[in-house]
This record gives sequence, structure tokens and C-alpha cells, in this order.
Amino acid sequence: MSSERELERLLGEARETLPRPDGDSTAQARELALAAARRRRPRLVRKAVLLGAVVVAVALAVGIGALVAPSGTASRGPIGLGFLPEPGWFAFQTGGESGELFQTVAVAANVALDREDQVAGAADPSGLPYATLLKLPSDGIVIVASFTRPNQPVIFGAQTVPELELPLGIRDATPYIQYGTQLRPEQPLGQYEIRGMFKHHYVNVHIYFGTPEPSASLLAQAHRQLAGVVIRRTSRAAEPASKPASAASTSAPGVIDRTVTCVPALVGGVRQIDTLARAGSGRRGSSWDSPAFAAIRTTISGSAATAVDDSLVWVTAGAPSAEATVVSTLVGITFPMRSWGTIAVSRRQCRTSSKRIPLTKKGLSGGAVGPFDDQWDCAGGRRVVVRVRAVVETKTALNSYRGFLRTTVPVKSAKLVVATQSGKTLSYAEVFESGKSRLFVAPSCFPD
Amino acid sequence: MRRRPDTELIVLARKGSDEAVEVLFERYWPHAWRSAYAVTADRGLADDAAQEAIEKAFSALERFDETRPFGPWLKRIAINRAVDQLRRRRRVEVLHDEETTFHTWEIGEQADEDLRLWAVADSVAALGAGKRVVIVLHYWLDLPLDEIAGVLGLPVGTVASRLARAKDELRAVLEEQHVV
Repeated sequence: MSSERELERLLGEARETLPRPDGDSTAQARELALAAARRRRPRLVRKAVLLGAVVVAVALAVGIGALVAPSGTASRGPIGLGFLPEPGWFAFQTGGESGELFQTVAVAANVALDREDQVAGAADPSGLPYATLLKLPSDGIVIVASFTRPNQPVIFGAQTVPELELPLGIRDATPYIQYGTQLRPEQPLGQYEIRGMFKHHYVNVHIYFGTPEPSASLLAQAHRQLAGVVIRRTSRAAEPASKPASAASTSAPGVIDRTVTCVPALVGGVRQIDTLARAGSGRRGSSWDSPAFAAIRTTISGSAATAVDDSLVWVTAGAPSAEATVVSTLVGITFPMRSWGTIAVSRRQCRTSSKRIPLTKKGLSGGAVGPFDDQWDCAGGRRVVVRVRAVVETKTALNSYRGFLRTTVPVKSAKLVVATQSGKTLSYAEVFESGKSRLFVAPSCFPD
Repeated sequence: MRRRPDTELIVLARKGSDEAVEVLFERYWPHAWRSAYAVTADRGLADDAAQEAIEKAFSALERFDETRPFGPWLKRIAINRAVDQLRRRRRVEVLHDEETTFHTWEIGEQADEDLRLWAVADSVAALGAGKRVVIVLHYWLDLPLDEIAGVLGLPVGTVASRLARAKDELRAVLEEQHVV
């Protein structure tokens, strides 16, 4: 046997020398597994509900959408989702389009949507108006509709559901029992669901009644509102009640200076944001495989395919190479900076703000960071204010791209500041085209 | 319960069965931990990375496609978290000078062969972290080069050349010790 083959064999078999985890670590991990599985169950139901709602909404939207959009265009371009509210009903929807979101959600209710279930006046993209449902009176109805592209990581077997025909009606719904979860066990809700495919979109609608046995009158109300689902094909379809940040113009030639208010995701009961920065690495002549980078993130997506959605704001400095990616994922999915932007702001989670926060690191501690992510968690409250100031190589504006406002022009230097709504600075990062990057955080933040 | 296939356990776990969660955990935790340890060569970092992986995986059970194998999915999460741990602690550079041992000191019946494997494991551990990680991902955790490139965020060509250099270095050391 040649030494090469012998080396290959020994290398392969040497894995058997790896030790095993000790008892303490195993016990801790077991508790984490159980806690994680328990914690996610309500969200599972929530997502199912939302997806169900989307289905209904989409289905309804298809019905009405057939009136709104010219025939023959239904399967082309992005599709937005919404309800035409019946008299006395309230309608909300998330921003964006199915082409750029994991899912689009619309909510219609004959009661006011609780503030906790709204984000900047629009439906919470998580899709379950839980606070509203907990208080739903016996004559209350909430319909949640969502639709998702079939190539997104939908878990409910989109390939097995039927094609939907419009208009939808309450007769299409079935009792929502397959997951066995009653959202309000102490005072049970009536929970129904419609699932199906429409124009290659996975549609899911959930209908909630304040009583487990809705009367004929309540069913008729829900039936009428289901017919109010609208799908539109314009790029502004399903625009949230609170408009997203408008396409930005540069504050001055070669300078971008934007301040936005962003909504951190609720993780484990805490509104948490991550601030991270890294120095540039992998220089190839005038470009970088990994330019100096700083970002504000929160946990939203839970999927490699939509990992970039976790980013609220990012800045880079130096020209990115074709290899440069905003987010690296385990499964090899990349988000090239040349497409996704050298500076970007989430349109879904952030809105333009009139607040003014200084570009200062006063009261923070930190310094230069290396080429690997230096990441810190900070509790941010329901909203955080983020300011970006960047010097770019040529005059540019932030343009809309798949849920973000971004520019692809290389950046000379940029600063990123995060503050609470009361003005307390949480973190400060700066990046330079030389590849240097610095990060400073408040004492209340902790390393991730 | 312990004889049920992964797909059934996942469905049961989604429906709220703690027992199904525990069986899945027992089935795959050791593999996840060993994957993390192979990358980090540090018990503390492996504990952190593997626990993070477990938490992340079980948090995402409802999104998991149960028609795909659970074990490899969890292993990939563990590897990724382990690489993250290395990056966070900036140990990639430091590890080069550390004494790292992979093997457990349990002499098997094939003592001579065990000694050879220990020598290989020690030599792998003595590599610089950049080379060591590529070796363990490829030979111990069975990742092809393109997947290693994805995990480490490096071009495939860089991974291939690093792997070749690591093997050259290993071969030189092991030849000196008359292992190969």
C-alpha cells in the first residue's frame, strides 16, 4: 500500500480517537433541546396559522385579484396580498411582496388589532396576532392569510396541497386540529384553516372565531370577508399602513447620511439586536473577498435561504469582489455584496426617522476588530434608532432591492451608530477602505 | 419509542412529545458534540458549539423537512457553530502554538494500530488551526471540498490547496515517526 493511501486510511480512521461529551455537558444540552422544542411549539402553531391565513388571503386575493389585474398576468411578477375590509372590519398587511419575502401576511378582523400585533402600523410579519386572539370576544373574527413561494422552506408539505379555486369561501375551510393546539385553551377559539396552491404560491388562511362553535351569522361574516382578499401584481402591492422608508437620495455628493428606526425581533421575550464588525480580508488587488464590514442584525429568518433578512442595516468599506457575501451560510447560500449592496437598510424592519443621534462612541468601549466577526448582543427595546453615514466613491442613492434599500457603489468609509429611542447609544462601528474596522459597545451589551 | 425512525420522532416532537425529543437528542447529541470537538479541539468550545447547535436545531424542528436526514443536518449546524466559536475566540491563530490532543487514552485490542492512530490524531492536532480544520472537516466529518469552502467562507481552490499543504505537513511528520 502506498504511503499516500496509508495516510488517507489513517486519517479517516483517526476520527475514532475523538473523545465523547461529558455528563454535565450532555445534561445541559438535553435541557436546552427540551426547552427549545417546547418554546417553538406555539410559534409553530402561529406560523401555521399565518400561513393558513395567507392561503385564505391569497385565495381570496386571487378571486378579487382576477378583477384587479388583467388576465394573463397573474403568474408574472411579484404578487401582493391584502384584504378589502368589509364595513366595520379592520385590515392590515405586511409590507413587501412574495417575491422578496419568505411570506406575506394579511390580517382582517372585526375587532381592532392589538398594538402588540402591529409593527409600525402594519401586521406583524410573524403572522399570528396572538394578543388580539387572547382577547377575542365571543362574536369576534380574525382572518390571517399568508402566501409563500413554493421554493421557500415551507414545512407543511406545499407539494401535497390542492390547487385553489377562487373565490374562496368558508366552505373551503376545515377545522384546524391537525397540530392539536388550541391557542386559548381556557376559553377555546373556533379555529379553521384553508391551505392550497395558487399560481405557484403556497397559500394558507386561518380563520379564528371567538367561540368554538360559531353561529351561522358569524360564519356568514367570515365568508363575506374571505371574499375580500385581494392579490395585486403591482410592485407596491400590499404596502403596509406605515410606508417604508422612501428611496433615499444622497444628503450631499458622495455622502449618504440616513437615520432610521428599526424593530428588533422578539427573541426569548427580549428585543435583542446584534452588532457585529470585522476587518477586511482576502484582498485581491483593488477588491476584497471580505471587505471591512459592520452590521446590525436581529433574528427573523431561521432559514439559510433568507438569512440576509436578519440584517437591519449593514455598511462595508472597500470594493467587494465577486466572492464577497453579506452573510455566509452553512449550506453554501450566499448574498453577494455586489448585488445586495455595500450599504443597505431593511425596508421591512426599518423606517425613516426624524430623530437625530450623534455619531459618537462616548460612553462605549471597544476598539479595532480582526477579520472574524466580533459580535455583541444588546437589548434594544421595541425600537432602536440607527444612523449610517458613509462616504462613497461616486454620488449615489439607495435603491430598492429585495426588501432593502441599498447602493452597490464602493464605500470609502462608513460609520454606524445604534441608540435607544431615548437616545442612549448602544453601539458604534466604523469601517475604512483600508480594511480597518472598529467596534465600540455599551457596557450593557455582551459578547455573542 | 427508541425504535422509531427519525421522521416519526420529528413529527411526534412537533406535536409536543418530550420523549420523542429526548430520543432524538440521545441519538444525535454525541455526533454533534464530536463534530464540534473535531473542529475546535477544545472541550469548552465544543460544549458551547454543540449546545448552540442542539438548541438551534430543536428550535427549528417545525421548519425541518422530515424527508431529509436529521443527523447530517444537525452535524452541519454543529460544524458551523464550531467554526463560529473559533472565529469569535480568535483561536485560529492561537491554536497553532497550543498543545491539543484529540484522542482518548483507551487502549484497544489492536494496540499497535491504536498507537498509530493516536500519532495521526496528535499530528493533526499539532497543525495550525487553518489546516487542522480543513483536515477534520474533510477526513473526519466527511465534507466535500465545496461544502468546506461554504462553511469557512473560502474559495474552493483555497480549501484544496490548504488541504494539500496540510497533508504534506502531516506526511512529513508521520514519516519521521515511521507511522507511514
